[in-house]
Amino acid sequence: MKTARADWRYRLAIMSRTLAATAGGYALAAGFAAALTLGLVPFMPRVEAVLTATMLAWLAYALAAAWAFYARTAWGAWGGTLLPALALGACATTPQWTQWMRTAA
Amino acid sequence: MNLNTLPAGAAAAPQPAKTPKDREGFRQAMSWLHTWAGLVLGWLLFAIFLTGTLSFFKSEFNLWMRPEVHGLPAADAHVAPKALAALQRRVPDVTQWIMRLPDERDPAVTLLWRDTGNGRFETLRMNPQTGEAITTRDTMGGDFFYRFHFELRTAQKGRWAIQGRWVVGAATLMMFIALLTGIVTHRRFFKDFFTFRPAKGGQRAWLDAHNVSGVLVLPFYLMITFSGLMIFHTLYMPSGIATAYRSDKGIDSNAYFADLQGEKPERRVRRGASDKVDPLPPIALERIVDAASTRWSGGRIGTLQARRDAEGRAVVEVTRHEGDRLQYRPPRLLFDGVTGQWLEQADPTSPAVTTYGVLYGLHMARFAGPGMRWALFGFGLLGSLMIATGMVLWTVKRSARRQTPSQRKGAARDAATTSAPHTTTPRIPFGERLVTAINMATLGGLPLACGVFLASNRLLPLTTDHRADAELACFFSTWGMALLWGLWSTVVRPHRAGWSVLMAAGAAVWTTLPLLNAITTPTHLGITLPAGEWMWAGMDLSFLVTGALMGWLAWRLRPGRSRQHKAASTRTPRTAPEAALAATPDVSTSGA
Repeated sequence: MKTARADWRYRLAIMSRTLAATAGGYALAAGFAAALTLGLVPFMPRVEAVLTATMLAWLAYALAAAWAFYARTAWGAWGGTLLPALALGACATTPQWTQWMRTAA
Repeated sequence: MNLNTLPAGAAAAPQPAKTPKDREGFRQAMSWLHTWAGLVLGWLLFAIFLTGTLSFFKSEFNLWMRPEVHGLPAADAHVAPKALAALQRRVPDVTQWIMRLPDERDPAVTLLWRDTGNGRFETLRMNPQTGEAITTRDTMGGDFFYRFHFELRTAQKGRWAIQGRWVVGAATLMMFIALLTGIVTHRRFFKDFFTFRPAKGGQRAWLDAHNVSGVLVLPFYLMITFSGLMIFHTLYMPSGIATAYRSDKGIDSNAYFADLQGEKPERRVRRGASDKVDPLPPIALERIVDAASTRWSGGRIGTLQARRDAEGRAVVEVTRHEGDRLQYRPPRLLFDGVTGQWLEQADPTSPAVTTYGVLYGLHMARFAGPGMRWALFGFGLLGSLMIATGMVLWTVKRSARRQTPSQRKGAARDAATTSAPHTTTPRIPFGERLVTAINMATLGGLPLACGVFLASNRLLPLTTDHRADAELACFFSTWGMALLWGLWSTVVRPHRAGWSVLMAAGAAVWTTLPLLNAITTPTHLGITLPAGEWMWAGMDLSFLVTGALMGWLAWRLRPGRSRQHKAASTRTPRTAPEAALAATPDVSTSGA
């Protein structure tokens, strides 16, 4: 039953990619919005920074979803969405961490 | 554009990294994503798009469903103070009210008020000259289509509104992705745009229809989905706000909303369920209205509202009419309620906030006059058509594949059948029958349910308990029955009349609406047409056109037609650029 197994694996890969596109893509877009807001805040009013970053975040989401289905492997789909999401999330939370470290020290 | 494209590239045999092949691979991956993202939420999207399109005429539906307000006189210049006086005679201890002044789309004064700080608003409609209350039937009116299209509301005061917004948000995002990937997939869309060959029949005609309706108003779709996502960005994508509006007590969303609406945070009030609010003092409304009119020389006043701000002071907010500019919300003037003294203007003007306001305004289309409104309505219908043809295409494609199994050995096993609207054979896999059944319930059942909703507005006794919810029950039970009919005619006992019967039922309901209107109200076509009351006559005429369209579809989809039609179309093939036909992927299997 070689075909049945390929079919099962195929379905699993699709599920995985779909999840990467939706959840991973959302994580990436949310991280993008947060990090870009933080980057823009010194140059413009807060509300301007938030709206600019949020509008661009939807494009980031669409690109991430497209990547999840374009990547060679399902692992690539996850890596391509979650790694940038983590990096952006780390950027966005850096001020809090430094503040926390300062108060702890 | 099929199931087998991806595993071949993804799991089994990685493609060599050469530029032309890579580009092709990307296009195919996007095509695959386009197909599946489109199908999975296509049903929901069709419902959102269709009811959203109807919402462009929300006020007109509201009127039609409240025939009691027909024939009101033109508004009096001093309508606002009169209406307020009438409200105070009726309810002395009002703590907050919102008044919508009459305009060319809605002749009545609408007053929303509440007599505690919290709790729900009560609604009152009033005569625009005397300020006396008009008793109207209990109905959700056109607001049902409006609320349904973004929160899938199932009852007038539904509890699942936020969950509904999340579901709609996910669907909107899928639509956005489907649009962007659709641009990649249909890269030759300028050519496709001039290619419509209905006589070819089958897959080719459906694909052409999908492409034409997709390309024609692509900017509109991009605008409507993107602005839809942005309108609810505080719900869907709050991470930017969480970063920039962090305070000691968590996230200061109140400050964000104040910035977004160009007002001072201290004027915004958030009261809890148990907060006691003092009733409003006497308001200097006449003076405030005069001052606002002078300030906006020539601009109309849309709404007035009075409330107590965070310091307990009575404040009156005057909002300019929504039709006066594209950006939403319109500018607002704040006055001290007791002295009538002008306090400030709330109107954000910075670039990103203005961009957001323009997106919001484009989505709501409150700026649009009748011509623009009809144009947007047409775009919305084309959008519904694009989604509908895409969903039918999904099944038609599988039908085409079954007819040429030698070309797709791998595909033959999973997709060995047909489920096109007018060709149903007994050996269809369950999944495809299910898709066809849901297609039927959505494409045929939803318009039918909308018609029944409007009919129930005229037929339900005026004394029915929870009448507005009873109308909704009519809508949802009709829709449910359409789904049962779809399942019956494709899964349980396959036969060819499924689509045709649904469309015929829809045609019957929609053409009966003007008749029902004539029997149950004094506002029928025989009166409204000679009097030139286009607002009322237009509704009845549009219902007739809808009925005629559905009737035409029922005729086209009747059983037995497809075979004659196919015979005719193979005899006289319509000439299309053969080169384009051969170069376009996925058309090697002609559906005819």
